[in-house]
Amino acid sequence: MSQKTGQQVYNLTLKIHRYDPDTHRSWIQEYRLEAGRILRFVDLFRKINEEQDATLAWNSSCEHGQCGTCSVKVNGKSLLACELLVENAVQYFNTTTFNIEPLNIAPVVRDLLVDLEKAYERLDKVRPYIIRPAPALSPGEEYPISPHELEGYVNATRCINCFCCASACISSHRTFLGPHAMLAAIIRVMDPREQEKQERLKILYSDQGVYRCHSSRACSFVCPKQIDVAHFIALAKEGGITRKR
Amino acid sequence: MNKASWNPIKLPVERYILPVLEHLPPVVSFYAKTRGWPFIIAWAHRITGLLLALYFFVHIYTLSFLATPVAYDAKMKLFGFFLFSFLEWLLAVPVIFHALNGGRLILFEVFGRRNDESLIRWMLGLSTTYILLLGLMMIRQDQSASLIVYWLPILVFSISLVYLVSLKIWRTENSMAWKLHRMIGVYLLIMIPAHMLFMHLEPAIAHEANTVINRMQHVSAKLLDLTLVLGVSYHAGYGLVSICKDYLPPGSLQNVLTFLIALTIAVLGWVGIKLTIIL
Amino acid sequence: MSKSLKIASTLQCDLLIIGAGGAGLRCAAEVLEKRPETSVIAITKGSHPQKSHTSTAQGGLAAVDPKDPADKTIYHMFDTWKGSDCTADQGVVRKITEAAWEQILWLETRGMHFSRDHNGKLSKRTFGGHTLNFGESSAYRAVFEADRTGKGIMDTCWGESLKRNISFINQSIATELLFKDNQCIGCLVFKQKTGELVRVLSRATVLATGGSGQVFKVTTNCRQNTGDGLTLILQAGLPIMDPEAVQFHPTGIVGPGILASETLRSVGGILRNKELEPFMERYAPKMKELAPRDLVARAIVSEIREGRGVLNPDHRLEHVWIDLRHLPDVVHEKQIPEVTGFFKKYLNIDPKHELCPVHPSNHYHMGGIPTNASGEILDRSQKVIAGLFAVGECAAASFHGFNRLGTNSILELITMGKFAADRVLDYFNSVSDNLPEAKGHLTLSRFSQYLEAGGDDNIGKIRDALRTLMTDKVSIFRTEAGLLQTMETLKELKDRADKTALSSKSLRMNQELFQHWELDNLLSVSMIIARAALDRRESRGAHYREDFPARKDEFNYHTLVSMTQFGEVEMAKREVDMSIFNEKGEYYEKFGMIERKY
Ligand SMILES: Cc1cc2nc3c(=O)[nH]c(=O)nc-3n(C[C@H](O)[C@H](O)[C@H](O)COP(=O)(O)OP(=O)(O)OC[C@H]3O[C@@H](n4cnc5c(N)ncnc54)[C@H](O)[C@@H]3O)c2cc1C
Ligand code: HEM
Ligand code: HEM
Ligand code: SF4
Ligand code: F3S
Ligand code: FES
Repeated sequence: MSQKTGQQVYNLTLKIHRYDPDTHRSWIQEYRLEAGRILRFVDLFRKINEEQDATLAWNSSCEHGQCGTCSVKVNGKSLLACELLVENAVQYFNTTTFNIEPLNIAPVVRDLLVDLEKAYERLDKVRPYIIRPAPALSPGEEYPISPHELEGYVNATRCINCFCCASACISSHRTFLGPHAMLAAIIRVMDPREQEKQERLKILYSDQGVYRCHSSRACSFVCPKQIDVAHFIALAKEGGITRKR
Repeated sequence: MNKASWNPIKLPVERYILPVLEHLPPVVSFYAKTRGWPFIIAWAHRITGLLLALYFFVHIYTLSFLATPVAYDAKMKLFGFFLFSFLEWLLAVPVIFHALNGGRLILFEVFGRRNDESLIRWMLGLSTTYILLLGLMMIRQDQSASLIVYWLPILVFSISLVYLVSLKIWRTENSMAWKLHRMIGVYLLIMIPAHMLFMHLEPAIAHEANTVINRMQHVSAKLLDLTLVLGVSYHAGYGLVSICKDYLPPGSLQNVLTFLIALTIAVLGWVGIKLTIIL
Repeated sequence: MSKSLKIASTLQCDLLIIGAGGAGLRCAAEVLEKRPETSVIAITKGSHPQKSHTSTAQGGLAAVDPKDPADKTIYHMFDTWKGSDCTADQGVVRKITEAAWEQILWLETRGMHFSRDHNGKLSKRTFGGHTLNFGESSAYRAVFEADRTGKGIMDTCWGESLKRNISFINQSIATELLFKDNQCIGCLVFKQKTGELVRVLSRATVLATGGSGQVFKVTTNCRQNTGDGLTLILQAGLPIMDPEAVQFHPTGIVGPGILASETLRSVGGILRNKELEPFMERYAPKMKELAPRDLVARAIVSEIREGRGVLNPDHRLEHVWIDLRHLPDVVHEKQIPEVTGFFKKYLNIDPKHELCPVHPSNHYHMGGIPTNASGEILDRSQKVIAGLFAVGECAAASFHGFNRLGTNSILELITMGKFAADRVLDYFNSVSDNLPEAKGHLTLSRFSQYLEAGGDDNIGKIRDALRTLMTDKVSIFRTEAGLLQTMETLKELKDRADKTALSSKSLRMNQELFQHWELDNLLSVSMIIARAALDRRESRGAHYREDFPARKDEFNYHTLVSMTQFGEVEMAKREVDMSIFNEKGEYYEKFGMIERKY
């Protein structure tokens, strides 16, 4: 088996930002650990829990990049901890010391765990569902959508609400609903099954909407699903989401 | 990282420039790694926008001395010094960067130029050319230009660009305020760099009160300057308010700041307009 | 140190959903659609409903399109029955398959982004075990949303519930069901973020806590799947059905256990052991890699057991290789790009040039909380427990019997979710609006025990030992000796767990505290799986006894297991419903005790 870096075990230093809700104390704690090259950062957290410090709180669910629960900032980059392999991290950041922080998109509950409920409140504002469904064209049958039409927005539907984009965006989270929330809104503007376009447009083109985007494209840069978020927001500014295709 | 994010190195020269860029200021390399170059450029756009707004403020203040030509000339003596010339030349950096990058943003946002790495290269390349060209002008200081011959084609070109952009965005769902900001943006895209270049064709053009005042007797010159003052006021005002809205949640603080910005801009604009008319 | 544990408040609602995954929210959405004034509270252990396991389902969901000239519902019924190794309940099989298409349309009209064919209609693909004409040829029966069908269901059900003003209590665990006079009246909830216990009183309660895959070391399941729902039911003195029916996928990606799909083998991937020998030739000389899932899984484990596995140093796990190096580039790029992507992403391996490590991975729990075809929970004597329902992977109606067909699970979520909702609505008409009170006593004592325990063991390490044990002894191969030994070791692990002190006594987001609780659940679920597997001295579906490798008619029943005290197990049986066969209608003979041979 090939050993790309010639090294099987890394000596890592993780500097983890911690917060204790009982005392409201924040501090940075340093953990040193040995890890194999293909362990993921979630595995490292688990290792810390098992071998060094059971109190370190972090979050994950699917652990294979499908749910967006494990997002953290590693050396400043927002990413999914379950997708980051030790070897890749060492290579990318060119160091074995990693600064790990929770995403700054909502209050921290403890250590790396943020209050996603709060973060989701901004998404809920774009009403991520069909408000007024179009009646079926022929009863008992699906509403036809051509693959071409679907192609226009299908990439936006891949968003898993990991909030990486929101945490990297140049706009603050106090005012911008968020790049991913823009996607959710844009999807339903482009979806022929949604009849309630007016309200959607009002939300999208509001002060909390597309005008908060300055095409800094950090969203596209960090998106773990490789969605070109910036493209969709630009499409909204261009008028491309309401134009009949 | 598995993500094939934009690999910025394409041209051979960049192979040497980029590592320097990435290693000189740690902030830059940090953001390049964590958010990508367009993010850094967005910040640069914001900072240059703010610088220009500041310059605009100072500029109008200085120009207001034109009402008393002696005072103006005294002030302008300063620019004889090498340092000030140099600063004037440096001003070209934010001006041309903001202008061309603004143009790039418009191409990205409304003309569908989404893979704009090459645009970024063009923008940076053209910026460098402009800055060098301006420097050359400032050193040679011997061009003469007729108001009409210089400005007429430029104006035609600018207005055509505005028309082109308006065609593209007029029927979108964006607010009128946003549309105006972008349309004025393209107007300024040509006009401001041209204005700056014009002012350096020869030293007297800008630095001698009488030359300026003489020129300003033409209605066309007045009109031209009026469009500039109005355009820059609106564009800068919108930009500043937009920055506020990025950081302040809707509410009284945001309203107060918006009001203050609007007031400042209005006063500035008014001073500028009055100046143009009375000269 | 923070405040002491107590019941901080009491909430009231009409409908309580425990577990806001696909099944739970499909049910909630239906109730809210039909009766908008219903107050619904949904609890989820994850940080948000969208983080539920349902979001990870990829392949698709099976449903016979009535417009399809070739396919018929009866074929779908047959495939399911055959797949289940003749242990599914036929009434449920009929009910679900007949309602399938209508439920697909429900999802479609509520905004799910199904993949489309060139006519704009829903695309369909084939899937293992789904056939036309009773096994003649593959059926195009699975509708899908690219490779994220589960996400589509989750987003749609969440969106519809959100739209109709459901209240979510996230990052919280239901720790105890509350009963009064044999009627379920709600549950206790521990809110992890605030460290408070809340009592939720409800007129009807639906359990939808999902699977229990975390019992095994290598699993495709998410971290939340610790079998909590099963333990809630055991605690209440009610039985669990067929816990021994656990499905394994032959090729999980080593380490995480992520699913590496069947396609790898169907496009020509070769399994190799430590000596790089293509060992499938020895196990299935004809079919080789293309032999059925369970056979391949057993072959892989045999190799490892006989010392021909390879140890992965990082994940400390033995595995075999799947060799894809000889496949042409077009196959890599066009036919298996996603799976190739997983190997690249999680192992930094390029399958074009390197061998890929795989190990069978736990995938699905067929067994669960016994219900009838409307999702009502049944006790040992098949009596309905008033006000208590179960749907989704935690439940067993039983649609899958002893082996689930791909794409049938998420179909079950949306159909059973809907049926349960219909029944809940009826039920509302039959009970009074008054919510009776009950205290609940288990949670406080259990949690105090965790907080007070002394000792210096580590919850994570015990969990790891448990999961390794279950993977070694109770997964693909089961033997009497192994199972007996497992049950002994489980007791020891339970003792160790009881004697583990928490590093922090804080109640707020004390991960260790609720992981201790989860560990107890994993221990209980492991115990009943092992015990039921021990008693089933035959092989059936996914349950394989090395010492009894054939199916036996004397075991044609569902196992019922109760366990109120850890280790004290009571066994009972439930008859397999063979109503289609017994009604002697058209094709009834296909629904007898047939052989599961493909
Ligand atoms: C990788 C993979 C691929 C799959 N692909 C397919 C496929 O293609 N087709 C198919 O049919 N099936 C597939 N399955 C199976 C299917 O995804 C699951 O069976 C199904 O999603 C289970 O849904 P659920 O609603 O029952 O539970 P889940 O979606 O797991 O939801 C359970 C909910 O309960 C909550 N919960 C758990 N415990 C508690 C507690 N104590 N208190 C409160 N809340 C709690 C959880 O937080 C979660 O919200 C796949 C499974 C895997 C692992
Ligand atoms: C010369 C041609 C110019 C062009 C093409 C241009 C274009 C633009 C564009 C497209 C934006 C929007 C960027 C965004 O949404 O983030 C913008 C923002 C801005 N511009 Fe300009 N502009 C020009 C000149 C000026 C001048 C002369 C000033 C100041 C006097 C100015 C001040 C600003 C400010 C303050 C912003 C806000 C920046 C931000 O939100 O980050 N611009 N400009
Ligand atoms: C160093 C470069 C510059 C010089 C020397 C210069 C000089 C002048 C002069 C002499 C005038 C008087 C009117 C005229 O002659 O037409 C003028 C007007 C003006 N300039 Fe500049 N300028 C420079 C750069 C800029 C920049 C960067 C901006 C944009 C922010 C700008 C905005 C304006 C405006 C809006 C007016 C019109 C003012 C009015 O009519 O009241 N100038 N400039
Ligand atoms: S757009 Fe990408 S980065 Fe943003 S939330 Fe969705 S998946 Fe995450
Ligand atoms: S990062 Fe933010 S600025 Fe726009 S392009 Fe993306 S939303
Ligand atoms: S845990 Fe689901 S994306 Fe990382």
